Amino acid sequence: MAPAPTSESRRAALVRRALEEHESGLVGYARSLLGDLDLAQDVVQDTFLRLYEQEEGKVDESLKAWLFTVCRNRCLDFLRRRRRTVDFNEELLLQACSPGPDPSEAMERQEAGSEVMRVLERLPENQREVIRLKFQADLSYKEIAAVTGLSVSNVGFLIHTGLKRLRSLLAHRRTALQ
Amino acid sequence: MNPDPMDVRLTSHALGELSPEEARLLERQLREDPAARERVEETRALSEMLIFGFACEEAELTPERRRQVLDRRGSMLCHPAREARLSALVLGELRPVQAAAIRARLSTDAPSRQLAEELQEVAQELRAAFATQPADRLTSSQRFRILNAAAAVPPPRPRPSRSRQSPPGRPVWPQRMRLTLSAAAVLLTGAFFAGSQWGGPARQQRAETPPAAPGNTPAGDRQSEFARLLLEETSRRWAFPSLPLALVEAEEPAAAALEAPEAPAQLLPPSARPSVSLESLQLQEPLPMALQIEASTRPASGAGRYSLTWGTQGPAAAAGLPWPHLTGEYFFPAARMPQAWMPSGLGQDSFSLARRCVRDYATVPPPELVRAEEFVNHFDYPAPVPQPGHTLSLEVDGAPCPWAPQRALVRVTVSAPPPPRTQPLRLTLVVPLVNTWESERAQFLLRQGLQSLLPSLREEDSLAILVTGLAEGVVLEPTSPRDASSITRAVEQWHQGGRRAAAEAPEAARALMRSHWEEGALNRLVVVSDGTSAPDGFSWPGEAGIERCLLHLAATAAPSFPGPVWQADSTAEAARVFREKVSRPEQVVADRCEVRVRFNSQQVQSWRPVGFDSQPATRQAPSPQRWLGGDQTTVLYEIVPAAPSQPSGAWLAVTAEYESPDGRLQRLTDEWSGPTASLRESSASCRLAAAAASFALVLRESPDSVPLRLAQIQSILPESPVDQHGLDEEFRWLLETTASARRGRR
Repeated sequence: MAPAPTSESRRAALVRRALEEHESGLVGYARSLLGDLDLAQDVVQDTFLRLYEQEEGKVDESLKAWLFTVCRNRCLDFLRRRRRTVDFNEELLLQACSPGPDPSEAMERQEAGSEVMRVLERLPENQREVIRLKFQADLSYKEIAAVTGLSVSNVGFLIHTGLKRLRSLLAHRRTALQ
Repeated sequence: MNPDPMDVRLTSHALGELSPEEARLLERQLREDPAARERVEETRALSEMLIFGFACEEAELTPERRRQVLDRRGSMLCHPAREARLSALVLGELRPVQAAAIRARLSTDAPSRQLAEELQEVAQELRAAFATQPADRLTSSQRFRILNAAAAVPPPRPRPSRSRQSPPGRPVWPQRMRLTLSAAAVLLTGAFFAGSQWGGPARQQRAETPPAAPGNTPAGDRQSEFARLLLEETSRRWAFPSLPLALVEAEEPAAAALEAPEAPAQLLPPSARPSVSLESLQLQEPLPMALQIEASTRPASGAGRYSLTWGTQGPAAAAGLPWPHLTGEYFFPAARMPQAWMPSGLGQDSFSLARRCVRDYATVPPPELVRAEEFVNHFDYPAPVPQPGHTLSLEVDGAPCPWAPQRALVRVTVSAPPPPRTQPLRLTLVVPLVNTWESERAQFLLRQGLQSLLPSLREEDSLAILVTGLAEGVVLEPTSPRDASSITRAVEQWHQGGRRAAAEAPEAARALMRSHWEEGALNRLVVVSDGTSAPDGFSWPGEAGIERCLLHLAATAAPSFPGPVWQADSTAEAARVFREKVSRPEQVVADRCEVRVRFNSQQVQSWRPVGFDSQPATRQAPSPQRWLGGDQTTVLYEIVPAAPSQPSGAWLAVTAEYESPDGRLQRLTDEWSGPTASLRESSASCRLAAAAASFALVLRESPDSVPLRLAQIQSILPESPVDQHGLDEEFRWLLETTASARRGRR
């Protein structure tokens, strides 16, 4: 008879599952908040490490919302800290190291996709965030409300307003390009 | 002040707002008070005038808008909260009963139905857009750390409710791990030979089951898990030759594509089955790791051996540049990958570093320092005048490829011509001399740059120079360029006298700047650094109207500064900076710019950008680019032509989309229909770019560079100068000197 899984192995399994299912969504979300892939990766790593500290069963049911909530809070902590201390040298170093996106990466971005993404950047930050959580991370209104601290109806209103604005910006852009 | 209650009553009465009883009582009073009666009449007259005035205003809706309002009577669109349910409906957020009710309502509510359909389309576009975005992931080392942290993170302890979480424990990491991953070789080779087993289901299984490891020991688990993560990471970060093909294909369901008949021979001969091995791997604390990957194809393929160095070791690390080094050959098939996105704002450090190696140390630069794309962009190519209404220009030309004449080399250059300066220039140069300025070269470059600036100054401009530190203070009071002799004398003759401390430089510079400051002029204070220290004290808060810039001479890495930073490490670069930067305003001429190159698979079998094979660890998402006047970016694409039986149309089309300063969307397009018969027949700019790329490949020891000799590269260069500042002449000198250094090394 196989030995019962230990608490440690259960936690490890939970983290592995979380990593497999939500790594990409979390890094993309953190990146959209922080505007920097490296920082986003650090925050997401910390989020997953925090998951080890949770008691199994407590976060299992709402794993996705828990991960995005912790990730969001860590991002906001970072942004608050950064507002206080801007390390100019580090910024410059990053700029100096970055040659810009390479063609092979950009090639993966389809034309239509990049158009929508560009227009998305023109929405207000709160609308952009809930739309990313909905479409990129596939969270429900309820989960988005849990992550952002907004009411469910507020989330619905923000998403609706954002979609309408996107529709109008896309139509305007396409008309202009014709 | 409170209004008189009687006044209020009179106004109310005039406007008919009193009750009948109150009105009767007031009327009785008014009979005895003619003045009050008159005030009531005045108020009534004013009221009638207002009513008439408002009636005359054009406050009606247009017929179209009236129709829309009437159409929406009873529609869900009349109520914001109800309208928001339409999005909830298309996103599947409503309970079935609610959804059914709204759907029933939509059958009679045409405006809402139309909005719901449009929202559905936007939602689909968003889903598709996010689905085509490359997935952001953690680095392999981060994933490894997370997955192996179970033992290191203490188990959760019961906490009193509402207490704050304690910070997570950091995993214990060995001080130094040195792993030889023969396991990785087994894993990879086995995986590759499994062929189509690397499909979707197999991948799913892999995700849940750690790959088998030799000995099934914890250490083995760790090694194989690390190998898997490492391979995922490398395949994600770099697209590269036989090694990456094996890795990339292992990640994709279409594993058989390598051996498919349509796979271009240049990618890999069908007989070639790469056996990939990680020959050495070093993992160090602290992260990031340093690693070396050696990969080789089977001898039957005739292909070479490739290596990738990434991390903090090797010559690149010695130079303080953690750039990865990759050699090899890779192409993108145009049929599957027809589009490239062109970056902007490429750096020039690589050329400067290479020049410094050759010029100052008489040595050939290490390959890790060489970036072909930066070599190409070191030069300014003459740009065509933008089309009417445009602020950018686009130029596409090409020729046979110097290192592979059966292929073509295409140059795409996007330029933003500098806007003319309309305001006078008030320029103050501050030269805080410190000990390192004893190096004559920085001073020489400064003097050369100033000499090249003088002819471009106008009569209404003025120039002042302050030298502090080891020298004598103000050496040139604000002076008009008409007095060229004074300027030249000051530039040529300042000397070290030690009368003013360097710490006083900021305040002295500020005072000098203000002595010839003029409203509406380009009031610019340029701090000249010798490249060894960052000048302090120039961040004056609240100082309006003075633009502060940093000019970094005789250096290749600029320190931080709260304003534009330029650098120059050669005479030609100094001339360029002084002519192009010092005397011109920085002005955005194009915003949200995106340049795409689309290859026609009828004409182009496969393609690749020249360079871009050294990517740092930081990857930023493509963001809309902003172009300043004077910016220019050139990218070379190497093209393998399609079989001659199928030619049709242009080889490639380039599209640039941007917003001009007045907010209009602009689109520029150009096509390219094939190379000239020989390189010598191509444009001078194309030849210069091709020579720069060839030189980079030679220095980089790329397998492509085998047929190239430095003397051949010299012959590629056009006879007459292309770069207006003389950078191509300097390049010619660099080629000759490098050839000497190579001979010396042998």
